[in-house]
Amino acid sequence: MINDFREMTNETVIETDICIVGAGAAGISIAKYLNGSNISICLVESGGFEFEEETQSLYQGKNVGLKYFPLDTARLRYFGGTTNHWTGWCAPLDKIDFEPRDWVPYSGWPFTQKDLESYYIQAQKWCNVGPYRYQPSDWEADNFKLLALLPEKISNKLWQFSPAPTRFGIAYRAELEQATHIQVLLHANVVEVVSNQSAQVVEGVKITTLDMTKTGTVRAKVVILACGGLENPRLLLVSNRVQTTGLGNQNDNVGRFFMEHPVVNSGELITLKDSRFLANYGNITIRNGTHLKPAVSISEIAQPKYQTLNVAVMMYSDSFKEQMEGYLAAQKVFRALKSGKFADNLRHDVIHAITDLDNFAEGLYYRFRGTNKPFPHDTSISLTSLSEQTPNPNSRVLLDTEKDKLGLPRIKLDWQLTALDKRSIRITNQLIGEEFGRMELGRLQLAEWLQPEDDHFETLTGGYHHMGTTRMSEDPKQGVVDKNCRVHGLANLYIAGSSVFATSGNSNPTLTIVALAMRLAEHLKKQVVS
Amino acid sequence: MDRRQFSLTLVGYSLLGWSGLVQSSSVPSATAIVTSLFTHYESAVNLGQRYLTLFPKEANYDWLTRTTLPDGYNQLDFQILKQTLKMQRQKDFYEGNTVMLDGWILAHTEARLCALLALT
Ligand SMILES: Cc1cc2nc3c(=O)[nH]c(=O)nc-3n(C[C@H](O)[C@H](O)[C@H](O)COP(=O)(O)OP(=O)(O)OC[C@H]3O[C@@H](n4cnc5c(N)ncnc54)[C@H](O)[C@@H]3O)c2cc1C
Repeated sequence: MINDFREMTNETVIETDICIVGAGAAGISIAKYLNGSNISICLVESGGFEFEEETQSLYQGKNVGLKYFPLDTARLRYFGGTTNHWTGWCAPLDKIDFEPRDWVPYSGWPFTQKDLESYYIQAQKWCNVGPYRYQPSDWEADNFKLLALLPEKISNKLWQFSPAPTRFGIAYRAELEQATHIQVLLHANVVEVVSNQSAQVVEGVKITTLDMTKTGTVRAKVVILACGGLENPRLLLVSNRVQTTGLGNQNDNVGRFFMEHPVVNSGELITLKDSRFLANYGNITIRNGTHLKPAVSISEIAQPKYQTLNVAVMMYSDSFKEQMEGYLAAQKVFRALKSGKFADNLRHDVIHAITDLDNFAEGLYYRFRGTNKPFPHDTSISLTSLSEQTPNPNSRVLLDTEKDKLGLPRIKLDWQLTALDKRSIRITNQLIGEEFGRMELGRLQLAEWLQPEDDHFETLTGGYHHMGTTRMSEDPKQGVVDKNCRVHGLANLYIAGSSVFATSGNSNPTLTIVALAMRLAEHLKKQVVS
Repeated sequence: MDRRQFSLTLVGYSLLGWSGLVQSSSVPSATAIVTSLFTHYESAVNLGQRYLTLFPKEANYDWLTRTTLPDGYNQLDFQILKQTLKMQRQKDFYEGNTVMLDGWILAHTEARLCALLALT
């Protein structure tokens, strides 16, 4: 059943077993998972079925740290949430991402990748991607070959891509509409999570329409916040009537540890041989209907050795496209060589010297003799790193003094990175440079900004991934939720979404969000029924 | 001989391999051998000079020769010498024995060969 709160009577009180706040990937997944059980659910959503500018403006906020996207363009506030324009890149978190690593502060989840595997398998379907096969070796039989990299340094990593990524609001609307135990409540903005006087049990949530002519309450045995990685901490912080620092914030952790996936231009690779072998990396390859995109990343063996975070590097080049059409990139480079068009920074010297050492002289010899031994293929490939971010308590979501239309303080986002973040990207790219050199494939130049050993970032952007702000830890001093996503200190308040991520890995978050949502639903099924 | 003529000469050397040199003088010097590896003299010198500003202590012709060229280098066949240097380069990359010049990740061997040239 789907209702519009604007059409209900003022001061409505809804009684339900579980109240889920937010109908995005996380909220819809939980409702969908519990559909068919006898548990009654109220899925409260701020927006309607379409984008509405006024509702979206509730998402405005300030960036006071590193340069970041305007906060109201980094997510969407209507039914289906940000999946209404997500791009569909999926990969599970890597095994190492769940492990405690003594060189990564605050690292370690209270469970392993294996514990999540059965949910990942199911999440693949809900996100409309292929089978749960993320090892490059899983695809070798399908004639999908990648470089044989030295496992002590670099490994291949696969993403799956959905050309028609699931818009959760569209894909699962009918199912929710028909579900007998589920009520979706549109245009209902949660403005407060209400607790008892000791702030140990939540009683429900307060809701209001955008024009504030209707207010109401959803009373529930269990409340789940599923409003996204920026809004979950905001709702906890504004719910400060009893616990004055904000619900669940007894240890001042709510809003801290904000993580993104730093995306940076980290360098350039010149390939001195036929670079068609790299085309698999530059393109999306389709095998058995599954869209695959590989990258290289620092291996799980190298991370402890070099004390780095988990960094992946994607390769992009126009020439990949050309090569697919049968062009030789070398011809382009030859023309550039002849016209002296190479940039100054030793580029042409490196190309000359290295090709000389690599039998280039013989190539020249053949040219003088009029025979047509092909020129070495030289292609420039740009490298984009997407990285795990160090969990950092100073990188955080704060409340501003400015308020939104509903009278709630807006967000101030103070995104911060550390020297470890930069060092990890530098070392990963250095190791890739070593591997390409060892395999006689080419030479890598680190981007200029990446060369100094400091914490200064350039060409920095993010992936629109908001993680860590209500992080998971069994120790209430180091996290906001426990291993079951329950807020420490509160018997019946849970959180869904990437705000619970203890560490971020370098995989896009939505597949993990959906898997975790299923895991939470499974936990609640047992809890609520018992 | 000006620089341009010199580098053209090097192209010639390089095409012949250093066996051409052997015919004219009995034992080729390290300089002759290294120059015969490069057809782009100026590029190699540029890299070598950049390397030596980073590692000024290595600006020692004898030391660089000993460190970079294999034993009996002046008696090896040109192709074998190139192959040996290639393997040394790969080993450098394998062992992480690299140097960063203007952000370029290069094997120490290849950078030192350029340095040797820059010293001549
Ligand atoms: C341009 C773009 C591209 C992306 N591409 C990818 C990708 O390729 N791969 C990937 O994994 N991820 C991608 N993402 C991220 C992905 O969209 C999010 O990870 C995912 O949608 C988060 O799901 P969620 O349910 O936690 O939050 P959301 O999907 O944001 O849903 C939150 C819901 O809560 C509602 N809500 C908020 N506050 C309240 C309130 N007070 N009361 C009631 N309801 C409320 C909102 O209206 C919304 O419906 C992308 C994001 C963007 C912006």
